[in-house]
Amino acid sequence: MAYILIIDDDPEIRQLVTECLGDEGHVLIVADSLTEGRSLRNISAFDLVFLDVNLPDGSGLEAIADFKNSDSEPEVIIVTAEGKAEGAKMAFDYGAWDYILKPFTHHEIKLATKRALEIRASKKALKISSSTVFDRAEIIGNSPKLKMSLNLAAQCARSDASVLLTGQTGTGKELMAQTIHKNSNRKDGNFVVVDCAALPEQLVESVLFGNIKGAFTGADTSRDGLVKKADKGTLFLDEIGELPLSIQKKFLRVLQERSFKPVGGTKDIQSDFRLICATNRDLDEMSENEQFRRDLLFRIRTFHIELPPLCECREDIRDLTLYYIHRLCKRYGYEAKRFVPEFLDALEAYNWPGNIREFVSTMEKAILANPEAAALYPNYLPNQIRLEALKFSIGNQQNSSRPGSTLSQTPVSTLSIPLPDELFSPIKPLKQVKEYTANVTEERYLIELLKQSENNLDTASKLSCLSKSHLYSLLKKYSIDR
Amino acid sequence: MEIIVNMDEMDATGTSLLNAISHNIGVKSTETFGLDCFCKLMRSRISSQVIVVFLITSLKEIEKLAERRFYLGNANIIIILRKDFDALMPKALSLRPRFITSVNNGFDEVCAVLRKIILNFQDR
Repeated sequence: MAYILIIDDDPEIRQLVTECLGDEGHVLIVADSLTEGRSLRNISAFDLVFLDVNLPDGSGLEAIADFKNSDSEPEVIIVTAEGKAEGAKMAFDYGAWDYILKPFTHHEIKLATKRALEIRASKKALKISSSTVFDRAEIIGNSPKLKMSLNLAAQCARSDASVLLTGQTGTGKELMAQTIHKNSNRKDGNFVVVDCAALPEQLVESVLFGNIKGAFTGADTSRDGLVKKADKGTLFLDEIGELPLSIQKKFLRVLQERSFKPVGGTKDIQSDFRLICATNRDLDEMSENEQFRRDLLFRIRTFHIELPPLCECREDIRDLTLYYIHRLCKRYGYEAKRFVPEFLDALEAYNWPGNIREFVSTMEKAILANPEAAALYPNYLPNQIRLEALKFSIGNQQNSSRPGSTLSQTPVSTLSIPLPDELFSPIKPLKQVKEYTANVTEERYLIELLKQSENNLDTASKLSCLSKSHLYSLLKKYSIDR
Repeated sequence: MEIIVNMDEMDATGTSLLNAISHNIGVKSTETFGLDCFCKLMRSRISSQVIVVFLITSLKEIEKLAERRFYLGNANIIIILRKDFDALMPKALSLRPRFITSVNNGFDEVCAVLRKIILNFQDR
């Protein structure tokens, strides 16, 4: 719900905007002059202001900055009957979010409102995250889902509470755990990783808690456990779902009492550690099936961060590409390589089941595919990725898995591709047929994209996950007029 | 899944380790001597699933390895410290090994961990 102020001297316009947004659950307040608008602004915090240009007591354009600089820093949308380019320029120069011409449709008002409130929400999120000093180290990206995880990680870093990191394999759980540790007041202590999946059951206990010399066959020396090594630092239990039930019970006691006995020992040893756990398994389900102790689950899940899969953060792929090209080229001693837009398109179209881990190794392969090349091309990518990109471009099921995509609503019939006989008599190389279908699909896709985004390039760019410059070049390539 | 064993130079301990792996796991590991040689090999193992066993003698070695941590990618790391276990272990932990042990504990545990990692990989 947002607080919206509508300043217009025309009662019909006020009525129309109110009608448009009335069913959206916002609080709408109207004013018929700048003076009244300013008075209302002084007593209430607005998220958005609809501002007419010609008002009886002044110009709305000149009042934009005044409203923008108020405490709540609302977004401003100019509504005017005068469609002058200078007016629009002035509005944007003063910081207006949008410029709507009268007469307008309900859809225009709703869309502009939605966008303005979205940008406001992201500004707020950015403000919260930037107000927190949190070094995100190698965690790249600014997608909303990743930012949510980072904000939560920043909260975790400020406390000593246990954290459970969940997410698909390759989403960077260990990196996130390490980042929390490095941002915590335990950063000078050890960050101790215990990979519960890698340890055989008979070894887990002595690795965690240590053992006394002679405690079992083969225990020729005494050794400290990793729990002790994590004293004043962070203990990271990776794949905690693999921890044997017998050890779960012992570990619960350690969490309760912060002390433990080494295998074969009689004396309690203290350890003051912070616990971070990670798993890609469903611990709730495991707990219901009595494979994981519920009491331990409660203990380890004070904070819970679910790391998003890469396919839900497609907007981060560009930043990731730039980051890893720079990093990998530096590592291999190459000049930083450029990449053609189609290279990024292919990366953005792929679903990345192996997440960041798969992304990094793909980038590495692409860079090493032709060390001499100054730029990266799609043919340096594994066939599987290029194939997925092609599938995406012909509107297959990839679209339906894209969050926020409206392409799935496109009737399949509009995407069917008639193949000309020339491609088959005589039969042409597969590459040529593929190129033909890809081009036709690309063109149709763009036409449909513009239709669905109402010729608005910002929206088109968002829906297609293509940069605006790339979108321009594609429109030019197919001579599509907006 | 490939097992790579890195050490400074081949000696009796290194030979015992390689024999233990060969005998217990049933695979012949790849040996590298020195970090440069190791990094060169890793360049040809991009995206491969590897387990790297480091036989480490000194703090300097750990520091050099930490500088080149990026070369290790997603490799599963096992560290065997030849000496000064208590002094070297905190630094060795920064390499985020899957398992860390002392040469004094023998190689049975190392082999058990190797077996488990390989088994997990095969089960995936």
